[in-house]
Amino acid sequence: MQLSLTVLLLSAMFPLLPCYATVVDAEAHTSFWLWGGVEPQPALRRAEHLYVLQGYVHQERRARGIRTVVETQGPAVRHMGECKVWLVYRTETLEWSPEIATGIVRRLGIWRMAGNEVVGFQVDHDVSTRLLPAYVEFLRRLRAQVPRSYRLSITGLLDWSNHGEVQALAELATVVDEVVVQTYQGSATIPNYRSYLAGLKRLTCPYKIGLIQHGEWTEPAELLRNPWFRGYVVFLMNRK
Amino acid sequence: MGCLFMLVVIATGFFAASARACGCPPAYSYCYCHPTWSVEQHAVNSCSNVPYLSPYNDTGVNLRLLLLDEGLAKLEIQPDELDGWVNNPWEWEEYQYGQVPFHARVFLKQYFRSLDTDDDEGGQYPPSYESAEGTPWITLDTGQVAFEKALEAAVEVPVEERDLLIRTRRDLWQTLFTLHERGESTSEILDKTFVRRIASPAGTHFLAYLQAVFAFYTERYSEAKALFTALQECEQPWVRETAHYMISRTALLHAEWSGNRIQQNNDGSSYTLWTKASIDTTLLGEAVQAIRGYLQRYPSGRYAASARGFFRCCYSLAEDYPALIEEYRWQFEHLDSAQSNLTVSRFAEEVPITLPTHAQAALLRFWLPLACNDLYRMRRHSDNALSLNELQAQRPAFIGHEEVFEYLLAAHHYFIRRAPGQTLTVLNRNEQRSTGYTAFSSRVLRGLALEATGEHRAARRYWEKLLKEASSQLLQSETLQLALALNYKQSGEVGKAFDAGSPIVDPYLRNALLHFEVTAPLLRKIAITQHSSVQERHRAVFLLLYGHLIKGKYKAFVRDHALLGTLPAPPERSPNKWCGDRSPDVTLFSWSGEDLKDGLRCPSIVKIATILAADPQNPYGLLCLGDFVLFNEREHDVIWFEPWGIEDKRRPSSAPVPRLGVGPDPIPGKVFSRGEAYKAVLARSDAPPDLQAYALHRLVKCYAPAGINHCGDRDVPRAVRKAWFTALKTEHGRTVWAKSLPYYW
Repeated sequence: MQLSLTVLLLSAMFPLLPCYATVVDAEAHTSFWLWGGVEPQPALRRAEHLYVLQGYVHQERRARGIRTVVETQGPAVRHMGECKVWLVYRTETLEWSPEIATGIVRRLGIWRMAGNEVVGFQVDHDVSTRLLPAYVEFLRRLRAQVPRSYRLSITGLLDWSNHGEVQALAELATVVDEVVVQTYQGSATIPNYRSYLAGLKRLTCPYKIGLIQHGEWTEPAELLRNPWFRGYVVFLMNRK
Repeated sequence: MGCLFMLVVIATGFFAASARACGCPPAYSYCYCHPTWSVEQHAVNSCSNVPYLSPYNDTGVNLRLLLLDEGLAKLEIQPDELDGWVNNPWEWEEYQYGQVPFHARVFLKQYFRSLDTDDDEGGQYPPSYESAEGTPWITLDTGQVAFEKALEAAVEVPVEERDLLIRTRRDLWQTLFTLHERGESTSEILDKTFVRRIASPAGTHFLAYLQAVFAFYTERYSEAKALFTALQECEQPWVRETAHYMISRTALLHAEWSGNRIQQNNDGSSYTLWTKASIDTTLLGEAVQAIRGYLQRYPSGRYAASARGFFRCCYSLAEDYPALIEEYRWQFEHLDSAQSNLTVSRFAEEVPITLPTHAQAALLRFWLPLACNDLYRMRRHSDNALSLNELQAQRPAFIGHEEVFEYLLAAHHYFIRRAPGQTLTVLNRNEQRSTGYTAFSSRVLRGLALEATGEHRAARRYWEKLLKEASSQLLQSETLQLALALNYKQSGEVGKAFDAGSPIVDPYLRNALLHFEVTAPLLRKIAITQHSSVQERHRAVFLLLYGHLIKGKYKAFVRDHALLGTLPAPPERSPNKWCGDRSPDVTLFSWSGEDLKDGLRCPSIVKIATILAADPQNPYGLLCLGDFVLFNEREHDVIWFEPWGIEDKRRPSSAPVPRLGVGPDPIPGKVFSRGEAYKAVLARSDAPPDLQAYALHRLVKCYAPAGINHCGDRDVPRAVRKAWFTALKTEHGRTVWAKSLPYYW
């Protein structure tokens, strides 16, 4: 009884402590997402990894039913410099025909022919934690269609590592080479991102943390000690 | 093949990934888009657009409304699981769409159907590039198909030569890729392949063409240009015409390519920077000449439309906006011409992206983008605000489209000068009779101006009158119904929306009213009203009972629980394929915890509420209510707590426009939190030990599996959770609750 009271008192005395967040500054980072129409920024010159948008896969309604289409987006192929290049494909659907993978392989080759060190491609797909197992299956099939010389990266949601089943997360680790966990949505940092960070401990594959330029980020103390953590990727935005 | 420029594509929500977790619970922020239920928009928000000309609409939406009025397109309102509305009132959930407002992208990609395209092509669009860069690669496949067809038709080419040529073209990418990886050059491979194997005259023409193509795809533009030029007088007709066309295409790509500059870093590494300013203008001039040359010789040629499309690229690269706008106007007025490569859809896609927002003088040449640009400049905080004088001086540009111009004048008074009285004066000068969206915009504006002058009664009569006049134009009625609903809200008479004969019939709007604006007494009334739809009655009962329970109104819950017996049976429903059955399921309130293995074996929810009605702090009652929430949460994958959500969402924004879902909560009260309930049980010294054990068990589990609190109360540090765990294990070690808890989080 005594202990319970103490416990109760303790819980009343420790409200959430205030945190002082910092604004995400591209100059402090070396890996970036590059979408179309973004004006050249000095930070790009020192880039080590560039994740370049190349396509947007989604479904459209046609007279004869629903069709999956790939809309080309993002910067046109050119020599980006000394950095490693990943090609990013956003997708809203997992109904991919084999031609889509063929197209990606071709595009990876085109970027290589332009003189870039192309290390792989990234699938950018938001999927609810419940549907993770199906997504892992999709990725497994996709992985088989692209030469192993190209690595596979995916974006991840903060929610996955918090509510995802152990099984699904473990299998994810066997299919992808890295997960970039996004702390933003649209053009702003997710307001309560901090409450999700503890869950990152459950990831057992290399991961990076995705930040949005001019957004917010406070690095938790344990992050750098995590052996799977591989650094940050910043989504570049034009100044408003 | 035209090239497309995305001059400024800022990564707004439009282009970031947007998907929704099922049920879109407020605790997760992944519901990226939900509608703002207002008729007048307050800010730019692609999640909420309206079917009348508004400065805060996406420019593409405004443009398409004008195209609809021109009779060039139609609307097909279709359900869309991701961002549009769900075609079943039963399935509608709180943050989902009705029909108005709509998500801009859904309007642009789904609803808007130009009349000149095959539905199957619909929104399909040639690849797009950043800042006017193009590449050779868009025709990798289509070029191959054309080349093959031409060869098959060229009977004078021997079969073996033909097959060799076709195979070589087919393997183009693979060949170039392999050569690149090996560091070899193209000419060696071509020599090896072709020497002495192509001998026929026609064959050598195709071969020469192919050599130019290889140069083209490796960006050796000068070489390609020379090779194509040499084929201009070739005997083989396909090769002749295609080479002539390819001169212009190569010239254009060469000009674009010249915008690349190698930049050096301090550490000696380099990178490529492309800017329009670096483009060699001589090359651009040559490109324009080359296009003209082809069109002169082949005005209705095979590639006439594509070639003419190159003009837009050239003018855009040269920033020659007068020429660019004239070209768009030519295209718009000659959509059927052999030289037009624009469909109405593609026109609508290109114009907002390619036309500058600051080239005012040039825009005067074409009323359509001018109107869109004027609306764009009427946005609050515009850095290029439109003055009344400037607008009035535009009258000559709108000859033939006076209706649009008169609307813009009225809109200026309303949106920029915030002078609703004057808005009405301007509108009264020109009574709009037609049914198009421009006339509708005037009608909506008149209603908004009436509301803004405080004439709410007059506005009400006005909206009701408009609703009586049936409109065949889609989305107009829903807009008016929303306006009327907001009028009812303003005078505190939301109930009128649910009266018999009410003009507010849109089931999604009515659902939104139920969720956001309807008080408990009104919910009760709707639940028992015979003329309400079955869906509404179920939804009303669900919201009523859920609201009572979750806000601690236990007596009311017990009393109104009897309503369940009065409800008609729901129809057979097929669950949504992504999320299961999301309809309001009143069987929830017949729940009992007796069969739950890892719960407290609680009685029915009515019994629980009865206990709490007598004593709101009863430990058993609180724990059982906690079980009710916990186990149904799991079942239905819904998080029910919004400790940080409700007040924030309902707070009116700083410059309010009438909106559903802001203002005082229609069912007031503090939301039940499991965490608070468990803590309350712990604090009760007279609570039986096994209940205290259960409370501790549940408190520890609030933080499973990853240290995140799922119980809706304030977080506690790990030390406290450890203390709970220790207390459970030491003081209640023999209970099943202690034994079944191996660790804390």
